[in-house]
Amino acid sequence: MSRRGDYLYEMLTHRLFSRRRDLDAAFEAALNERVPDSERGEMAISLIQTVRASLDQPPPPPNAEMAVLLEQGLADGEISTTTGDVPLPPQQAVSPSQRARRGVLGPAFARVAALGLFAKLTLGGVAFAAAATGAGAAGVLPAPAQEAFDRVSAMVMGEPRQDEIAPDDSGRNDPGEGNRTETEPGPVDRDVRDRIEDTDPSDRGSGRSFGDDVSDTGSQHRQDDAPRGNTPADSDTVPSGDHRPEQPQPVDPPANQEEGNEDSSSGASDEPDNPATNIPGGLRTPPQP
Amino acid sequence: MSNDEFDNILLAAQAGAGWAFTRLYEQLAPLVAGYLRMQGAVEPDDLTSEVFLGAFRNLGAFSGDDAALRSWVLTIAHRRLLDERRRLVRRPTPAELDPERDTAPAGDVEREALAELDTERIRELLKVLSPDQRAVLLMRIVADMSQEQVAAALGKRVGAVKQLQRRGLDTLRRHLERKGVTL
Repeated sequence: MSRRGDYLYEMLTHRLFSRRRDLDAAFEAALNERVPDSERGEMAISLIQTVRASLDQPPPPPNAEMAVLLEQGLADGEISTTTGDVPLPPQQAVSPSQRARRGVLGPAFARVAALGLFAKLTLGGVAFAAAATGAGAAGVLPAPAQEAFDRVSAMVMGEPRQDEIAPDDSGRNDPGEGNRTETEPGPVDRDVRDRIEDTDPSDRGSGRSFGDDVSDTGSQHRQDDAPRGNTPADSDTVPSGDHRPEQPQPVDPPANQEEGNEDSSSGASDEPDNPATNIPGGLRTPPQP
Repeated sequence: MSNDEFDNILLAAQAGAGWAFTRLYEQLAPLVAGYLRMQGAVEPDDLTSEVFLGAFRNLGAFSGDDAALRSWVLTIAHRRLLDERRRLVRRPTPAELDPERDTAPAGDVEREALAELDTERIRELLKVLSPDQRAVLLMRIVADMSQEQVAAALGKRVGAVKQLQRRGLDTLRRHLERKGVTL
């Protein structure tokens, strides 16, 4: 069919259906004893009135059996409580399983059914997204989908860093303050806490000794890892002086803290970074805002 | 008839009281007979009696209001009509007018004659419809049944009933326009 033919067909169909809808609406309005507002209403009203007027007749005379029944009635045993060959009344013509389904799911289905198309699509999309996210988090998606999910989630949330895995990094921002939390510390935290507790309470207020201590230890580790020969970076991070321990021990004994204290003035001034960033074991905390 | 009155009559009918049967018959029989006539039943009056015999004998299973009872009785009438058609194994022909029977309980002869004339006209008009379209429109008009009730009575889906109603009305409209007549 040509485009013009298609257009004409659509126009005719549209007119036909709109005319049918008008007539149908007029019929419904007339049935409900309302005045139809369309031009088709007149026919609908006439049809209904004519049919109903023809019903305005006396009841037909009963046949013999019916006449006896009307006159004498029925004994109790003659009235069946089951419908027999007679169909069930419309509101009872529901199977028990249908009734059970309607009782449990009926209101929910009715609400969903009452939604508009856009709302239904949105609801379906949300349900699918929730199901896919849950399945992806549980790792039960098919392999390609799971891989894509992992990639997207890594992109959105970032790779988990070690400092993010630590139970609490708030106390390490300022180790001198000895900021403790109620959570159970991990092995590294426990180590740090032990050192905090071993320091002199008078020094604990400033936290410098501890900071220098860990800074030295961290610098020593870095030097051990780096090739021999001072690089500019090394010179920046490693404080000058002979107090650098010979042995690459991660934790200095408390006795050496006095030395550290002595150097702390110069060390602190030379050290542009937060001392806590050099905690041995690779623990790093973000710089203070 | 008020709801309380209907409930009392229904209870009495379910207990087998003749007076209650009579009240229900007087109220519903004209609708049933009119429906059967307009559907072209061969023996609409006899069929009406059969419908009520079946309904009254099984009234113990019914519960509902007067609209539900009307719908139920019309459903039985439709089934009996189909049974009759199967029995006859041919297209039903409109019953011949039997003046003696139709005017027997008469009070106002002129009104009844006019009503009969209307019935004839409507029966002729409804012949252009398919049996299902006719059943849908008549059930809706005669018994004031909802589309859901009609669907249950005919064993069809509500959407199918809506379509039958629309197409039936459209067929009537086109027929009337073509003939240049009004109802």
